[in-house]
Amino acid sequence: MIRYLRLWRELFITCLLREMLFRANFIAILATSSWWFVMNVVMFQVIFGHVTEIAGWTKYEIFFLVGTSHATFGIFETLFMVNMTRIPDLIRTGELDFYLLKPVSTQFLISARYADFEAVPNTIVGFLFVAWCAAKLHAVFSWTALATFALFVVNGVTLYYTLLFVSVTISFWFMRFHAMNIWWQLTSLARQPAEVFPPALRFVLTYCLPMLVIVNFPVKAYLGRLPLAAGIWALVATGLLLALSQVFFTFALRRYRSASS
Amino acid sequence: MGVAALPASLVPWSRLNRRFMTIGLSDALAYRGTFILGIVFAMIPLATSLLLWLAIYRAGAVGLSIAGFDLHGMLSYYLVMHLLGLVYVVEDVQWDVTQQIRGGTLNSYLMRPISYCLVQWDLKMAAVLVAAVIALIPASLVVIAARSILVLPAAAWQWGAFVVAVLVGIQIAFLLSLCIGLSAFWFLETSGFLMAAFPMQMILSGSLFPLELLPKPVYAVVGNLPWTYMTYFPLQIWLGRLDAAAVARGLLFQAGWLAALLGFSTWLWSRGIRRYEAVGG
Repeated sequence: MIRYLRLWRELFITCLLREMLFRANFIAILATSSWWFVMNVVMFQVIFGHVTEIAGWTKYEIFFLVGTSHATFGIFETLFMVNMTRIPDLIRTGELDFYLLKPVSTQFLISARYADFEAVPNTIVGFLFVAWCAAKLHAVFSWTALATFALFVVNGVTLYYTLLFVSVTISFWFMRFHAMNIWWQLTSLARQPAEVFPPALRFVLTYCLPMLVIVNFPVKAYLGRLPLAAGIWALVATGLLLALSQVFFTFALRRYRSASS
Repeated sequence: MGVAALPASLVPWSRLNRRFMTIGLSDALAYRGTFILGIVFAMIPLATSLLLWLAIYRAGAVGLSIAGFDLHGMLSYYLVMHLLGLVYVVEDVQWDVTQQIRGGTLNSYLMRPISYCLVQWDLKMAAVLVAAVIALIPASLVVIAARSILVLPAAAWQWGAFVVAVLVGIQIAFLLSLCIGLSAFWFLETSGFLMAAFPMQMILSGSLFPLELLPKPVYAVVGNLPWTYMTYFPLQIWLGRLDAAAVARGLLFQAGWLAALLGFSTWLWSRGIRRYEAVGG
């Protein structure tokens, strides 16, 4: 485990150094990548000019959610996004061979090989915004609340990763299947306050396709609104899915025929 | 200015331009699978915004009106805006143009006896045509599924004005994107700018929320910008929010912006091409 964390750190640093070579571009990206987030905030700001709450959420609670979602997906994009988009190509071109030869878990290596720093500012901006919202909400600060929030953010990133990894693994069968485009649209479900959805759909999105666990749970945990049972379920589900993704990947690897060369 | 005096390459309906239209058509048809899949999954964000507004109106008083939108008006706004979005497929032009200027592939167009901007127009209008035909499927689904809540234009003149406003709106969207693309003559590295421009355009054209929800002084400014005349103005006609006089004035404004943007893009092109270094050519 420690060995993997150390390896991950090394990979991360290599990518950062490479990125720094193109410094001007790096800075330009830092300055512009939070536009979608700003747009979302503007939208809710405008809506709250006319109403006082949405599905039981007040303005700063919604902002808290928007910020958390920006930060959470920012972390995901930094660590996994590029890798997920590359996996279908690795399979199609046979480049996966090089990864299979390395003396570490292949799933780990193809998932964590490249870091993408474009999304780092999203994460920072997201968390700063969340902190500002927490202050506005006059929520009593406690380390416990912060720790559960952090725990469920990590849980959300992991869960989203497993969902995506299972989807891209399907490329072993359908080489031209681009799961990423679909997931991009599906994330719009995760960004909404859960109570917006009708109860049946909310149930599906919590227990079957757990999109609402990713962003809604950390926010609810911080605000003290997450039932204990639901919280435990979320952690267990993520663990199970992670294990499942590994089993599925090993199974899918049998389909791999390497390159035609 | 007599049209007869223009060379064939500059006349949109000349044979040369029809030829490029055909290329654009087969281009757009080649990606129909992706396009249809895109339509299906783009329904998800639409559904979430509909549910969001449903929740807002449910929590409020019966017959709640937000900036003059009742529940059905608001839901219709998002539905029709979504359908328009499927047809307004001209925004790629800013990426294409930027890429061709930056990569130097513009050269191959410069050698042809035809206006570059007009070729782009041919390609994009062909794409719009294909998109409009394909969009008939989701459009009829929406009309059937949402017929109990969908607000339709009441009078024949509103239908007519809507169609005209959409046709001109597409041209305005095209010209705005073209101008942004042509700015690559001055700023070689514009990807940051483009990334910021896109969300801004989404807000200013009303794709995210009805512009009249903005505070009044802000709307007084935003409501007169060209982006408003892309999609927001046609939607106002559709929902019956404007009387005949307001529609006539809006159409006049729309024509004004169209002329201004046409002039501006021509000017940008003629200035830009002088700076062009044909990198990699």
